Amino acid sequence: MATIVPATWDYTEEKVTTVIAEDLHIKGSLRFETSLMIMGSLEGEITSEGLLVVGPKAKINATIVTKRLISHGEIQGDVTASEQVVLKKTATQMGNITTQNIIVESGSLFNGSITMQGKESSSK
Amino acid sequence: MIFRKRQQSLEIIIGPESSVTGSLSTRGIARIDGNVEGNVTADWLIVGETGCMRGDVVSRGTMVAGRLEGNIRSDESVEIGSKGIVEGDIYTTKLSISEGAFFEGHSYMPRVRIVESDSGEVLSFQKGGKPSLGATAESGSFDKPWSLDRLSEKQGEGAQEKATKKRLTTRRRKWQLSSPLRGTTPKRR
Repeated sequence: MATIVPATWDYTEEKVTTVIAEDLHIKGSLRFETSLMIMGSLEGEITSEGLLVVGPKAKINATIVTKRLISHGEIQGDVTASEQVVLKKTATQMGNITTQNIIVESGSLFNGSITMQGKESSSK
Repeated sequence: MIFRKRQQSLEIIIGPESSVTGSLSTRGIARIDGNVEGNVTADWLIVGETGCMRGDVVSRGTMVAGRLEGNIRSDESVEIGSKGIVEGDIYTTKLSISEGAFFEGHSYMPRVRIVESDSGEVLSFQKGGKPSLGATAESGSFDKPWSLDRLSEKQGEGAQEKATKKRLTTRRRKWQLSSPLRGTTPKRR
């Protein structure tokens, strides 16, 4: 039952255009187009049309709007991803998720609600 | 398949052609491949791919490969398979949602992480690393070249250089021969 999602650190620093290092703490709003890996901490707001990777030691307290999110770290806040959200087993998510496709690995911590937009609810 | 776990006391099976209205309760495992309207209490609940259930679940573990409308309260784990559909709230300590699954509702998990699951990978890494150290220490493959060199220390510098070279090559060769990691690639996360 392998997932199509690439392995944890397939997103090396070469493939991800921007990396926020572990000792960098940001307050404010971020906007990017292609890809960003956050290893440090961030407070505020993230808006993007690309891939957001959250490193295992990262702490994010923000509202996130992106296309694709892969989280190994801690996120507090609502996430809206137009394509996919992946919560890896070290991930902690406190907040609601709105997405089309979600993967939650066993071991991750998730408190919040999921809304699957775009995918038809087959109960109707 | 994930459903092989703990089948030793499969108590309730609702076949794919049958439907039940009312609540089900068992101490064993319940497997639902048909239609159920009502609450289910079981040790483990399995909703098969053809299964469809409407009602609340109280169990130790729940696996959903079909459709479930209702709240799930499972002490140990909740798994939603890749074709699973869950509409309702989930209260559990361990949640896993496969790609392609549909889940709409709230997830409530205690804020303490269950360590068991994420030690798996770490252990497998340690397993790969440990034997290599143990093997070299036990076989003493490093000791012999060293003792040979000590004998040759009394000789001239040129000899010593040669000895060092020899020592390094034997050491490398021995390492390659003794290393249990030889020919294997380290496990990736």
